[in-house]
Amino acid sequence: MNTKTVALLAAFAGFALGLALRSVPGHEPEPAPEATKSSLAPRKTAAGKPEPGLTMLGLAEKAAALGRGEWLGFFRAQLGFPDRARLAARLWAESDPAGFWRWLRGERDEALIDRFASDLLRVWAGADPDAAMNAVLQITDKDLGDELRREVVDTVIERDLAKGLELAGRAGDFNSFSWGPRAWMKKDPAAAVKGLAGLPPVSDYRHFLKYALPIWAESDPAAVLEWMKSVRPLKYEDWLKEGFETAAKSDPSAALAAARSLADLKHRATALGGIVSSGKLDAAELADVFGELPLSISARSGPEMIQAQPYQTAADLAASAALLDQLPPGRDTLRAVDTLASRWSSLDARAGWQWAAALPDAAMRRQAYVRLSSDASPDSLPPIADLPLSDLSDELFRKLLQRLPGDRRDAWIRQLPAGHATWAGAVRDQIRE
Amino acid sequence: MASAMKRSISWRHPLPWLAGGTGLLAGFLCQPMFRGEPPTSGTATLESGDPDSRGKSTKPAAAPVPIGPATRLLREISNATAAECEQRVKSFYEAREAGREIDLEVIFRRWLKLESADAILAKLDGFGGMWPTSWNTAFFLAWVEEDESAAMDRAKHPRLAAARALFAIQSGNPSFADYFAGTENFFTFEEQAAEALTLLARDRPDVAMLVATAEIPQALKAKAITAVARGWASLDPAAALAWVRSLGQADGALGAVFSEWAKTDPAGAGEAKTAAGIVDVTMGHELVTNLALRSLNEPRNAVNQLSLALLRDPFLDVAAFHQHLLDSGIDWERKYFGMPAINHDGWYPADPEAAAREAGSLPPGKERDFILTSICHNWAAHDLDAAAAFAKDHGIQSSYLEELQLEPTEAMREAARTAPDETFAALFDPESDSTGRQALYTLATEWAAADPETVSEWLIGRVPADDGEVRDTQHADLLFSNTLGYQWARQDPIGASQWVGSLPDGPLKSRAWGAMSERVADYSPDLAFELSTTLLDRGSRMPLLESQLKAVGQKIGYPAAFELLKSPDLSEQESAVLAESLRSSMGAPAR
Repeated sequence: MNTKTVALLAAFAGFALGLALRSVPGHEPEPAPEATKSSLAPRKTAAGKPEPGLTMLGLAEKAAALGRGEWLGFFRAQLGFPDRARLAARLWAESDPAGFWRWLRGERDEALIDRFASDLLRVWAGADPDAAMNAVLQITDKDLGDELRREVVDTVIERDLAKGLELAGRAGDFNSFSWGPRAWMKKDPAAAVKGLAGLPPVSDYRHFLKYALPIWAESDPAAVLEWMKSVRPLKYEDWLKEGFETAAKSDPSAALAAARSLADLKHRATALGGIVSSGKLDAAELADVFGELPLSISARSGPEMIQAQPYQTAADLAASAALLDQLPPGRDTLRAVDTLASRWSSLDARAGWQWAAALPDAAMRRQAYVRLSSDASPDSLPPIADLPLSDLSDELFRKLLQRLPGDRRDAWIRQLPAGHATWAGAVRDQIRE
Repeated sequence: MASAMKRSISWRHPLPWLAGGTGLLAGFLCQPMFRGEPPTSGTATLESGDPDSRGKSTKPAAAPVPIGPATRLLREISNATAAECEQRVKSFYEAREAGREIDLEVIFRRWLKLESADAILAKLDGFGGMWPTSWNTAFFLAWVEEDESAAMDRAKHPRLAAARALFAIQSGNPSFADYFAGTENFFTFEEQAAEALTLLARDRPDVAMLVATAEIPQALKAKAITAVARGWASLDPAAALAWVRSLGQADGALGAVFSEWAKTDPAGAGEAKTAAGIVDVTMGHELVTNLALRSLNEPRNAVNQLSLALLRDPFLDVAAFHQHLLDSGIDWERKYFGMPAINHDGWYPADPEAAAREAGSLPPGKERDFILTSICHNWAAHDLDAAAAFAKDHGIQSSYLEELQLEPTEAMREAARTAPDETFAALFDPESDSTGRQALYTLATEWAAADPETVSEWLIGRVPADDGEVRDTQHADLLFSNTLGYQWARQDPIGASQWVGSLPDGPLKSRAWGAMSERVADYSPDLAFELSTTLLDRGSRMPLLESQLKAVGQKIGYPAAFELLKSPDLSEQESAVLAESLRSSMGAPAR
């Protein structure tokens, strides 16, 4: 063996020895603490600041060099520090979401899942939607599963409508969550509507049709009307109402024609109800439509419409009064009467009193008189002396007496006809009590 | 030969020594590489250095890991100007994408190196519209990093109150509750504070428990105590129980302690409950937890045990579910019905068909049947026919599935429209087989809702005109009052009343008015009374007249009620009896 060979052997031996040598203090990798629940609470170091050299970029660079097998130890070491834990979780999710999920699932710790699962799934769903969905489909707790399946679907659907809808179709049922218009509906509302309508009946994402359909109808009412003629909503769905309501705002005649062409009576009624709600029909059209609507819709939607109007003039009130005449009287119409009387009271109380006197039955008149008396001036109370007893009520006398100062009540009662005065006196005594 | 070799080595030669020493040094320096770690010196910071030059050559070749967007952002932002930071934040703001808090914090950290917090917040205000509350946390955490004493000053920027309070909890500040003031308007604060307190209680129960004596709103305090109890109990339930009991009335917290305790040691939890004389620990808890806690009282109840297993493991799969039931010694003499998790909480395999296949291969027994029943009940919402067929094939009896199968089909609806007499015949024949009557009733009520007048006419035709007595089924009687009353008279009291008036006098007319009178009275009590005096035969009408007249007195006024007694449709005797009744209901002495 020559000197060179010996030198080579010595070099190898030295290298091996060097590897085996104990690291110098401060050069040793951070030991991964055991993952106990007590180590999970966020806290800062005693000095109140993160350790030097572990700024966000420093942490990210360190993470960027980790092998998959090293992530867990690295992540556990950050758990006690709020800022580092959040970033480390994001970095792990971006690097190895499946590994992160495997660990999270294995811990069986609700607090850990609450803290990290949503962010992890959002990142994972962005990178690999199918894998993220497969993962959350393994959750069998309905409450948690609902939340995290929604997280995946919502993330994907924002970026890729078709893929998001495909995942929604696999996601099953959700318990109630907040509905409303979403940004993804606006990118291609036609595709959104058609995709949502194609979801299986169990999918609660179908509820979004209520919001996506009006968005489409605003941009292309003719196309929406054609589509609505060809589609069959599920038994308990009533999103046709929103679609026809919005389409009718652009073209009420076309909407009416489309609604009347629907063969299914329930769907036709829903569609006509939506058109009524658009507020775009004139009096004659309204009369026709109310004649076509089933009682269950006309009895509700007519009064709703009256209550929703912004009344500026007596003419506005007269138009609604004409509509009221066409509606079957009922508890809902009493609420509409109340609304109209209130507006008359503000605009022209005297004309309102005349309108009330002409209402077709005593129940309506009583309701109107009470409301018109609520704001009456003490110096010009309404002329109730002429009213028949059937139009009076305890409530009417109560309102009127409350408008008067206490020392003027008896005088006012004395000038009433005998039957009215007796009744008013009894109510006055109740007020005193 | 060995000695010859020894002789041939020159130990005095410097080369081997030099090579050995160099090898030793190289081996030592290469330690991190062989552990798969990056070099530990020269770590780049957000504020300085060239981040792109780092980390590239140090990744272990065996396990390359891609650089993610967060790392890329950190690298890009390290040299950004204030204007660039502002532009980046603005683009996030305009996109309103969820889950970008970390990215925002990264940008804010850089921005705060370049501009003051006040200046940045003023610029954020300039963006217009509503700044998402959750993004305040991103700014606040960046500010804390930059200048903790300024960031924690409660007088500054009230919009950060919730983030400040959460940080106080997270950092274990014993005065954390002092920061709660001003957080009332933050929608999610209570929930986030509860989560943070649960975590704090695991690590520092001595600090977390201070919330019990803090001066904060009572509702918030109750939630906070529950959160602390939950966190503490996950590590030391006995200590948490003692603390909760020392506070007196705290049902939610008591439930939280036992819920955590039951996860790891249900027997111990049960014993502690008994020892403490606690009867009910289920108050103030959501359904799953509530049922799981019931397992402390009824450990052999299958529904309770399912809830407990799910509380322990939200990923409970078919095999684990089966094993848990086997281990729990369920009393199968009892019958169990757990509400399907559709529209409820509970065990829900989102792919019930796959779960059913898996469960179908379990060893036969009560445990398997319980699991199959549970799956089929959920599956029914996806595909009723498939679920029912699977249940039948596996010998599963379920009245729930049977009821669902009786729901009217489209074909039945069509038949009802075209031939109602034949379709609904069984409803009116007490002798007929009762199977399917519920579905017929449902179908008939659907029809009545769509067209109550037509259905009322049709119903009247089904009842013999000379005899108003009810001889049909209970479903038909219900349909009668539902159609004439709820569907018609409720929505059109005047039209419905006029129709009744047009019917021939007799028991049938009385029965029809009986179905409607309450609904008409809801609209107009005096009209209902007047109609009763004209539509009902004298003899049996007094109880109804009495109650209707009292309603007139109470809802309109007693003078109106007395006025109605002048009706020519009342006999003198009826008027006298009704007047007496009215006076007594007024509380006036009888004359």
